[in-house]
Amino acid sequence: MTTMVKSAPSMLRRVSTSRSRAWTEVVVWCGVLVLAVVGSFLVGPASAAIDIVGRPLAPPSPEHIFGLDAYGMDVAVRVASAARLDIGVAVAAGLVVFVIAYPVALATGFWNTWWTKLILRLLDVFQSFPSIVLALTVVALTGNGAGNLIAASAFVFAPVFVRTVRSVVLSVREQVFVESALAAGVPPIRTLIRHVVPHTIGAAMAQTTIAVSRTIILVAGLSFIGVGIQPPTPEWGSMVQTGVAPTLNGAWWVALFPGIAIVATVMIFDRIGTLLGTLSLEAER
Amino acid sequence: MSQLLEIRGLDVRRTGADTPIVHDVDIAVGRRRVVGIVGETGAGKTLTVRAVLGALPNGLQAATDSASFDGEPVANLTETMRGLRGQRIGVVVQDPLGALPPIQSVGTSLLTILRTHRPMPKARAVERIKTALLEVGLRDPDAVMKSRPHELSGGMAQRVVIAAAFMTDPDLIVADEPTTALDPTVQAQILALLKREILARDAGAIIITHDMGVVAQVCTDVVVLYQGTVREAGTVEQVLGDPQDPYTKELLAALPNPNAFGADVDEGVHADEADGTEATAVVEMRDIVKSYGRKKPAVLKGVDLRVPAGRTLAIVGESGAGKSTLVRALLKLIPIDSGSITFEGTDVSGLSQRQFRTSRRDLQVVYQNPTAALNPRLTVRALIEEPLRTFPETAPTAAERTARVEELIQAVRLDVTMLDRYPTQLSGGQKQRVAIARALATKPAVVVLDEPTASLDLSVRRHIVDLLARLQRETGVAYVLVSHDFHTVRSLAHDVVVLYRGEVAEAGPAGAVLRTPTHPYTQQLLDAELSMVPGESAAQLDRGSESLVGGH
Amino acid sequence: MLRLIVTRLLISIPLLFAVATLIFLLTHVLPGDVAGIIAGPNATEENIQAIRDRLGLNDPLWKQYLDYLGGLLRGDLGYSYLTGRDVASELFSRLPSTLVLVTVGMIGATLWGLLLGASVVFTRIGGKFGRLFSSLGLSTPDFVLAVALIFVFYFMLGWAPSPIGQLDMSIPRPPTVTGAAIIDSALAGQWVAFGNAAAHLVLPVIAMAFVYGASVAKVAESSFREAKAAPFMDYASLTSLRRGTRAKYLTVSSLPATITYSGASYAYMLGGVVLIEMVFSWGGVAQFAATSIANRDLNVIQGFVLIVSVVTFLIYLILDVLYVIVDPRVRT
Repeated sequence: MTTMVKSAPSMLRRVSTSRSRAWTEVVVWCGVLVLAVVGSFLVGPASAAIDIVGRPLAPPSPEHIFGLDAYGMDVAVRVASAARLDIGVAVAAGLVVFVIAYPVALATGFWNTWWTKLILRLLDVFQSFPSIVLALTVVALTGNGAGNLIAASAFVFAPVFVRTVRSVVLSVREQVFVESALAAGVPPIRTLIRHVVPHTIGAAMAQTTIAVSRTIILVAGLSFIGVGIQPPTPEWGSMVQTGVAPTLNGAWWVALFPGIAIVATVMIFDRIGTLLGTLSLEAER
Repeated sequence: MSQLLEIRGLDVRRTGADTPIVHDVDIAVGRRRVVGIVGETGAGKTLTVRAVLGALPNGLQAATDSASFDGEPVANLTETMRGLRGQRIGVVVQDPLGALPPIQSVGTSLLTILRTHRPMPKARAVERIKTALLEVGLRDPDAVMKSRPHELSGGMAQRVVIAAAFMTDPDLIVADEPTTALDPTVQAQILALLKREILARDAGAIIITHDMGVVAQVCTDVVVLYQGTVREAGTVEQVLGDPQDPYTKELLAALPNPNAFGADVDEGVHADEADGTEATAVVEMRDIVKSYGRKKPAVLKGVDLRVPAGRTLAIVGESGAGKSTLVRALLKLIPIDSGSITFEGTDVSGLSQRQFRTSRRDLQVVYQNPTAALNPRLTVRALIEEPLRTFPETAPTAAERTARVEELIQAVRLDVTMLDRYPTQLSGGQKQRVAIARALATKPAVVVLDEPTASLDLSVRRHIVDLLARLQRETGVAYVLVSHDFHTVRSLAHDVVVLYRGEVAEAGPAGAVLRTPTHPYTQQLLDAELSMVPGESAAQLDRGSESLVGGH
Repeated sequence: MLRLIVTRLLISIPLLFAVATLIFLLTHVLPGDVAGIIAGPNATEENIQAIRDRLGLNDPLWKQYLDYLGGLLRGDLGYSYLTGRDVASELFSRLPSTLVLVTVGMIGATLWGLLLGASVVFTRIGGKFGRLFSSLGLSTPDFVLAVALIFVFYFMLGWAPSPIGQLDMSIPRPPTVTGAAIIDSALAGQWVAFGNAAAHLVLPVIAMAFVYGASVAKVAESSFREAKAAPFMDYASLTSLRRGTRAKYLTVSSLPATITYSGASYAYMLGGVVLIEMVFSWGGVAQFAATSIANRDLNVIQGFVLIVSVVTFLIYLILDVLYVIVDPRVRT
């Protein structure tokens, strides 16, 4: 009889080099983010970020590498100091989304009863609103503290999370091995945990990082409008807002550096999300 | 007579790779000759033919010692063949429904193909296409041309693709598994059609297939491919009549034999008469009615079946007859509209999923595709152990579970070292053995076998069937076998139920039903199974022209 | 087909009813003392009560709800406490400006997205840039890009007009018909104004196209990939069809998905452009709604959400009808 066993060691070897490269990259980026947050604490106490240290709108110089803003505050110190708030709020929102929306996605994907349909319809309604408008509404009604921002962001991004992860749950649910487990008598909850979760958690984690990076943009936007983090507390979005008028007159550094900070952080989180996504896909093979 | 196509020393390799995937293959096709390239999946058949056609995907390269088409030497296969495809070389693909773009009607697609290679006024092109469609047996060419690809059945779509291949009067036809995706009853008709058209036009043909039966039926020459190399080649009479290579012999041995019933099933042969002592029925389904949706016709229209303990009941019929619906109803994976299901003496029709769960210990399933049915993230041990954990009473302690798992893996003739492997590291046959071990873990009274060999290579099927037969002898388990493969049915079934459009056409002991069927549909199903002796089935195919089966 | 439209319109009634109720609940039941915030930090209890009376907040909830529904049916969306004028005219006078921005912006985003998606799937070098631009587009907030564009093209290069409003201050304004400068100037035949209005559209549309085009690009990319790998493309190659024919097959089968996505984003963008409108002082409805939300101008909020819902619903209806026409496989 022709045996076609792929020799186990060589297969594992082939798989693990590309996977370990991906994991290494994930770790590296996470390290960068941790450094940014740690750095934001090291840069000085909160008061340092709102000290007036010189002439307003002074251009970048060796002492103040990002220049000074319209109030005379050091842009570099403020950009660094804002990291903990921007990243912290976003990560917290992501965790909230994961903890609440992942079980909802599992339940609505696995079962198809009147209450799962109801939940989905409700989520549909919320999803049809632009995130900024929805978040704006929630924040306007609850106040603009960091906690409310986290809750508003989680609220805004949960529907998309549920939709996307649910579709993965649905396709896993259709797999024969899930039906095989149910037909063999494995109780539904156990089937869900043992067979469905391992095949969907990768997508869930990828979606969580997406929620995190979207939150950064959302919170920055809200602060830009003026309903997020209030100045003078340093936050990248409100810093861009205070930088608009100066930019029209040539003081480009006030808005540019916080803008770059936003773009860079979002790109890092998106990259982590992409890597997690590919890793979870590969594990399926 | 010069050869139509002659390729010597064909190699196909990944660009930049040292070892070729296909090595030193010779193909020679003459007019009125049909060359079958046969081998299992992974043998390199498709790659070989794509190389010959000059249609290799990116990243693959072909090299030949020599190549010629209709006497003219060919320097660059890719370029030359591209110019010939569509006009002097007609192509028939494996998936006819996917071949035509869904964005336009069938007629528009055909017109595009024809007028690209034979520019002519539209009216004349339309006439020519209609003639071609009639020739392939489509009775209403206007309707076919107006319809969209997804509105056609598989058989109809394949006829359209064949018409497209022949409408430019090609010299060479290349067909890649032209009937694999079709129902067995339609397969025979399509093959006959192909052969007729090829001979009528003095063309030559290459047919790729994994089924020796197809070779026996349609081909004049055969090339046996295994892992990219030619094991044996010659005329069909030579190779099938007197095979030299051991692999060829293996392939041939896997062919169906209408008289080879399973040894212990022979009782069924003599049991056309009632037995007197009826074995107690472990499963009994009465008058099952099921339809999907109020407006749609019922999929099951009052079906009865009975599975005696320790024996095998086979459910046969073509796709759409209701086999899988019936079995899923039995497994209580779908609800039924009416009827009763009795399992081990208890009426389970009205039970909820929770109530029925304990009964599942005695009712397990082996699925068609073991790759899909086994969770790739669990080890073999975990997979076989899961039913034991689900029903702890079968093996309460960890030690007992381990012992039972080892017992099972050996019962399916796999080594204990396999237990720590993952399904992706096993072959198809090995995976199915694991699935069987898993199904038998709780010592069930009944195991449902849903097309257990359909996804497996020919050479492996026989072994799995033997395994199943032996396990039944050893454990006394009853089987409900769903299969369209009569070879499997003959080897395992004691009793047979033939389903036709949701009703029982015929039922009884296997020997009686399969040797001397009473219902014409059963006869057609049996005829469609191709015989291995070349030419013998011509009579069968004539009989099949007015068929009850399929919508084509 | 007719049945589809009629069924949809019939479903819309309870749906809109549900949405209206939801909005009501959202704005009236969530915590936060609206009256107190409106009155400001130095208000006395009297002031606050007066405001509550004026807004009808002292009435029992069910009465407020019925008043609200009654007003809706009359077409009365109430009054904005900020401006004092009625909500309907405030919103509808600004809506066309936003519609112009979103329409041109979405067309730009679709074209850009198709270009990016095609470059990734069909070329190699173009693919690298395509991925880069896609990535940047997804990570950059629209307002950040808008500010950067203003700096480069207005301040440094002087190519773009002053990024304030839809028309330069110096240009005489056309008579107000819709409120959107570019339409009004065309209607009035004032072509200088028209040109200027068009110039004002350029920067905001580029910002939108780059940012939103990136997500269109993702859909376009997967759509092109799928079409490229489709069996009928392989068969077209096996039957040696002409290059043009094959390109046609590819494009026609991949466009629907992308266009549907763009269309579906349209209604979403009516609110999503708020930040762009703010940066460019566009004077559109999104900007107005945002200010109203920030100031808890309840009636405006309710009216805005309702309008967006109606537009969303209409757009989905149009899209579904188009889909049925284009792809007859889909017959719900």
